[in-house]
Order: sequence, then structure tokens, then C-alpha cells
Amino acid sequence: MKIKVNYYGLIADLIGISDENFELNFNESNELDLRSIFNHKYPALLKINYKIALDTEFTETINRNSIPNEISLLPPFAGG
Amino acid sequence: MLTENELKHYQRQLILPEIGKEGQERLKNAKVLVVGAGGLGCPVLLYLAAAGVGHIGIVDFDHVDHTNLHRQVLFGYSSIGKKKAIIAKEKLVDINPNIEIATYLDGLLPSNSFDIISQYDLIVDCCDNFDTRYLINDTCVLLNKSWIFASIYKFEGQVSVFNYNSGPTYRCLFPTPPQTEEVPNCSEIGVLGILPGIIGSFQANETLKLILRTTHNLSGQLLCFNALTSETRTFRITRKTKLPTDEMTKESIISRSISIEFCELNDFNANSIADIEQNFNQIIDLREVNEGVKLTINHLNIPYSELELRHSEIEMNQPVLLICASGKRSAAALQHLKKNHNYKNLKNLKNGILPFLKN
Repeated sequence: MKIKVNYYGLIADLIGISDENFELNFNESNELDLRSIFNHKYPALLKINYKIALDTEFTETINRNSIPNEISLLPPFAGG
Repeated sequence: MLTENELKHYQRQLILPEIGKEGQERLKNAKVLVVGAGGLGCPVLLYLAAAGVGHIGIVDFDHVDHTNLHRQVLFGYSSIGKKKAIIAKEKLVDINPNIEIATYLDGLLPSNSFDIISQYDLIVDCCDNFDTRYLINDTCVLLNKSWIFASIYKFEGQVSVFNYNSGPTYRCLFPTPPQTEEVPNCSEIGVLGILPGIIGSFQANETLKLILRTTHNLSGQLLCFNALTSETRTFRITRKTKLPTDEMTKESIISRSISIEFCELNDFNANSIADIEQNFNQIIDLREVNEGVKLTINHLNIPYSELELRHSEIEMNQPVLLICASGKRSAAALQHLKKNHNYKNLKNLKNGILPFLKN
């Protein structure tokens, strides 16, 4: 299943794109741990702080019965 | 009571039913502290002052640099080298002489944050580093004050209201600070000049709404804006039941070492450029190419953004001084080089090179 993923700030710089259609494979499981999936695909994310949101809600997991329109990965910003 | 002059100054907003004389009196009685008079601080200060916020505090230890002018719109060429808080106050007094403005020139530190923040109703976070942001958060949580957060990265901004009526705090979003070296600042990566103007205006708007007690504000929401796509998205933040601030006391915050203080042992306090030359065999300028005035003494320019690629050019066996504009990047670079590349011979020029290049 493909879901739109938006990458914010430093994350977009680290992985080189600001969004993509991301392939999520549930296989036999109902729930997936998103952080480990993103960290595995983009090891640069391992060393930074970030939040994961399904539509407007922050979470760490995605359930096959409640698929959002989009996923967002947000790091903290320092600038002012 | 509003004076005749004030009634005229604020006439166009006084006629809004949401404000009226009562709202304007609230603005006049409000005490708002703005931490940072940079990209975000400039629009925030401009609009709070123009709208008649009666008591404004400006916290900033920094000086105006030539490279600030494209986004820090309170300053001009005649401000270069001068204290941001002082110049900002001069401009604001002209924009609105009906208000009181206080300046705090040491910056916000663990040692002064309780004294300063306790004197204000609302705190606006316009700072550019996590030590200060977490200090604002933690002090506000302990003093039960609401604060208006914003931060920017290149073309993007984040805005929220924290600790409002027991609502979420910054630590509900990001419980612990990132490593200093993890998140670059505007000097290293660039920033679109108008972005802090837009995001700072959002912040000023939230501040005015909190004072006016309008129905909606951004408590419990993180607003993200992208200036390239002109898209805004809002995410929901909830208050965590357990937070690092639960264990904190005023004393534990005051005794906290933030990176500026943490590095004191590695800091070099120079009295002059000659002082720097005499004490070090190698001087590394970590500012970006074309960032500010060039050094006249013998030095090696390794922009902070190239540090990881070029650190082998830095001597390991002789006294080396790391410098940047304000001392922040050089402090971060020192930590990084010590931790990851085993350097033991480095010092950081406290408060940066800027004060020496302006005199």
C-alpha cells in the first residue's frame, strides 16, 4: 500500500526529498512501527529527534484498519 | 484609562467589537517578554508595540551583524555592531511612545530566567537555540506562565502556544533537547528573509489573542507553514502525563549548565585580536565564506557546514582557537570535535569574533 509521506525541515535535507509515495507492507501484521520503518529506509534519521504524524495526530504506529491520507515527519527547528 | 492620544493611536482596532476599550486596556496593562530580537523578534516587537502592549521586555545579548539586515527589519546600516535590544528599543519608542520597554542585555540564562520571566504575563520565544527554548519552557512551567513558541528552518516555520491553562508544553512535543550539533542555525543553512516576518506575525497574533482572551488560540496545536508551497498544516499536541519538568525545581534549573555555560572551561576570553594571536598557533574561523567581516590575522576558514569533511586540517598538538560570529557554532564545533575526533587542544572564543570586528 502506498501512502503520501511529507518530510519537514532538516529531514527533507537529510534524505533529499520533501515528499514521496511510501510503500508500506503490513504482510500478516495489523500494526506497524513507523519509526523503525523510516529509520531503516533512511539511516540518517537515526541520529535526530523527530515526530511522526498520521494526518493531524502524532503517533508511532500505523494500523491497517485506520489508514491516514498522509504521514508527516517533523523535526524540531532551531532558527529564530 | 486610555489617554486622548492612545484613543487616536488605536482607533482602527478599538472599533473592532473583539477589542474595544476593554481590550485595549488589557493590551495596555499586559506585560510581555520577547526573548530574542532577531528574525522572529523584530516583527513580534513591531506589532506588539504598535498594537499598544503596555510593557514589553526585550532579551538579547547579541549585536547587529550586516548579514542580519535581510530579515531583521528593525535594524539598518547604522545599527551594525550595536546591541540589538538597545536599537530595537529606540525604534519601538518612536513607533509607540505610549508604552514602556525594558531591555535585558545578558540574554536569558539559567541564573536570571526566573527573575526576568516572573515579571511578565506572557513570554514570546523568538530565540535561535534549544538551550534557551528549553529554559523558557521549564521556567514557564514552574512559574505557571503561558508562552508563544515559534521557530524557523529555511522556508518553513512552526508556531504554537504552550503551557496555556495546563495545556501541552514544548516537552510534550520534544521531551529532550537535541544535540547542539544536530540542528543547524540560520547562519549555516540560510533562511528566506520574509519567513521570520510571516512566522513572527503569527506569533504576535497569538500573543495579542491571549491578552485579549479571544476564543481560539494555538494551544494544543502545532502550526507548520511552508513559504515555498504556501501550505499550512496543523497537528494536534496533547499534554503528557509524565514530563521531565515534573522533577524540576527552581534550584535545579538555576544550577543547570547550558551549552554556553557548559563550555566555560573550554572558553577563551580575549581582550583584543592581538590577545588571540599571541595565545594560539592556529585560528579556525568557522563562519561561512562571505559571512561578515574577514579576519586580518592569520587563520584558516573552515565553514561549520564543512567541519566534518575538513576537520583533519585542524591541528591536534598545538593550541587551537575556534571562532565564529557569536561563539555558539564554535562551542558546538568544539563539543563535536572533542567527542567524535578526540581533540584535546581546542578553545572556543567566548561571545565570538563579532565584538572585535566592530570596534
